[in-house]
Amino acid sequence: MSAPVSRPYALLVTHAALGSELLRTAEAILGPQTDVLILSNDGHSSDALSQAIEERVRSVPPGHAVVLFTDLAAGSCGIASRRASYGERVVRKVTGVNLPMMLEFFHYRDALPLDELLPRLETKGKAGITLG
Amino acid sequence: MPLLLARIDDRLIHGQVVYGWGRPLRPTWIVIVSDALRSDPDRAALYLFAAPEGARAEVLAVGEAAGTETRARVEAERTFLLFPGALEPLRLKEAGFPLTEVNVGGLHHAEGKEAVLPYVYLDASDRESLVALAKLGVRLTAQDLPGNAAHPLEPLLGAA
Repeated sequence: MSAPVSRPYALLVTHAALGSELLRTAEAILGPQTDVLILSNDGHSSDALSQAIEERVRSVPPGHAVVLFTDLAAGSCGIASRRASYGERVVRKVTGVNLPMMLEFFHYRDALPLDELLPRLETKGKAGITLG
Repeated sequence: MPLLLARIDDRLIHGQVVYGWGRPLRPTWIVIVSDALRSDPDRAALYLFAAPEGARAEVLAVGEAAGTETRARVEAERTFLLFPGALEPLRLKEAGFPLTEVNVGGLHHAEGKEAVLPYVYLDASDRESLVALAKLGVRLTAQDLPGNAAHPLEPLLGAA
């Protein structure tokens, strides 16, 4: 029998209000979500942003992994997420966050282990982009 | 080619620089001028990774950036100089680099700093460096993005 999946928290680190609006939009589709942390880069220097990320990660109860979503890999959020140090905490990083990816995360985070969940986020995020 | 942008921005290479300024100005060479980052290659790599397509990025110490090689390359390229704080451009100017204009694009909130603009927070040492730069004839303009208002910074330096 496999161990139960300990729910990963989401930490959305984005430019401006993208993170809070993505959450609000996902909740409009799926209903209210818990265990989600939002951090905007507004007003943060590079140092301050990576410290704020570390604080958010520390605030997650031990034993829960964190999936850290950022919008631009080559932006302040992506850079700060790679600069921050997480000690023993399990923090998996995903860049290019979009709505299909978030919906997939909320839908499957209680059901799938991280190693299956993460590739799924990438697949869904990319599959959500089509040209007409 | 004259220097395209000399910018104080504590986020260094990031979205506003890559997209906001980078798209219209199309830099080919992005130089982070910082002694601290020059001696910390792991941290430097994080910023250099963020360089936009078409541009090579590197970190130079202030002394290196002031050298004749750098000046020659600035002439040959489309160059952005990025500074993590106000001290680096002052030291560069004092070392003889022909800096005539500095964009103050992001000095964010930190303990002991006061807001001058929403994206410019200064403490006494920032003010001192900026005033010294202005006295050396460098025009200081606060502007986060090319499409937003450009504020002459000098009148704001004595305000708070």
